[in-house]
Amino acid sequence: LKKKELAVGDSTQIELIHHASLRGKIRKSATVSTSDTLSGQVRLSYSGEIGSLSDSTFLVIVEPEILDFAPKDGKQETKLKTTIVNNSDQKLTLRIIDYPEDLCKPVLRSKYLKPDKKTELLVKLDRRVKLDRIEKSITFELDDKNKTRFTVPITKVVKTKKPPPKKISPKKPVKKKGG
Amino acid sequence: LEFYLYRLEDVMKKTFLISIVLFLFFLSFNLFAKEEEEQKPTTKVPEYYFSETEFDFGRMPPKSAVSHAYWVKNVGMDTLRILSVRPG
Repeated sequence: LKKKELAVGDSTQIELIHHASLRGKIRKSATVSTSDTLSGQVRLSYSGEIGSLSDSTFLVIVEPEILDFAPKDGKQETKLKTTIVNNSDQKLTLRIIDYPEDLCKPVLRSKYLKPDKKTELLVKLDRRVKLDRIEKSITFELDDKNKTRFTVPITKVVKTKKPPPKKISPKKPVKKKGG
Repeated sequence: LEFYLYRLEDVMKKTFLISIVLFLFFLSFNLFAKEEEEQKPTTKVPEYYFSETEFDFGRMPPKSAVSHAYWVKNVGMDTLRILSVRPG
């Protein structure tokens, strides 16, 4: 939630993040309570199916399944791509329907995909983004009869190195004066 | 001269009648507008508008995180406060 107070005519985004763990169909919701005296609450919901995107039984195969922007060998990647292969016997048209506007602008090299042909989904991070943790995703839709959708997660987790523990020197015995 | 006087009187009568009709028309229109204004609520209230309340991610890989942003707009007449967002 970016803003908690909206002036007249103002708008904001409410972002829901799902951590996919178990395989299978999911349907989750969140209740938003507002000061709207007439309606008050609204329920936001999302659905999906957790499973591999590189499954050969699907219309398309997406590899890699996750775009991980975590620095590798100290080098920060700002551009990544995933390959989408048409695994069906029909001509498909791809359409990006959702992406994080404040983070990146994804580009499909070609939105038309003949059987057995492949295309690439290119993702370039916005230079202004200096986040250590990213949990976003891009959703694209096919033009088949079921309007099948696929969601490619964009992730980045920078592991901060813990400072070495301070050596505790043994306390010196205090010599008693006099005696 | 008599003929012209008669014509002038006739024109004046017609003008008078038209002006009365117009006056009555505007009077009734004004009354109707006032009535409508009275029917409007006078208290300013906030009102939300969500562009969508449901989203389908489709197929998504396991051991990952996916997200979607829902847009909300205040289409009311007072400040809208988002009090809480709770799962479930």
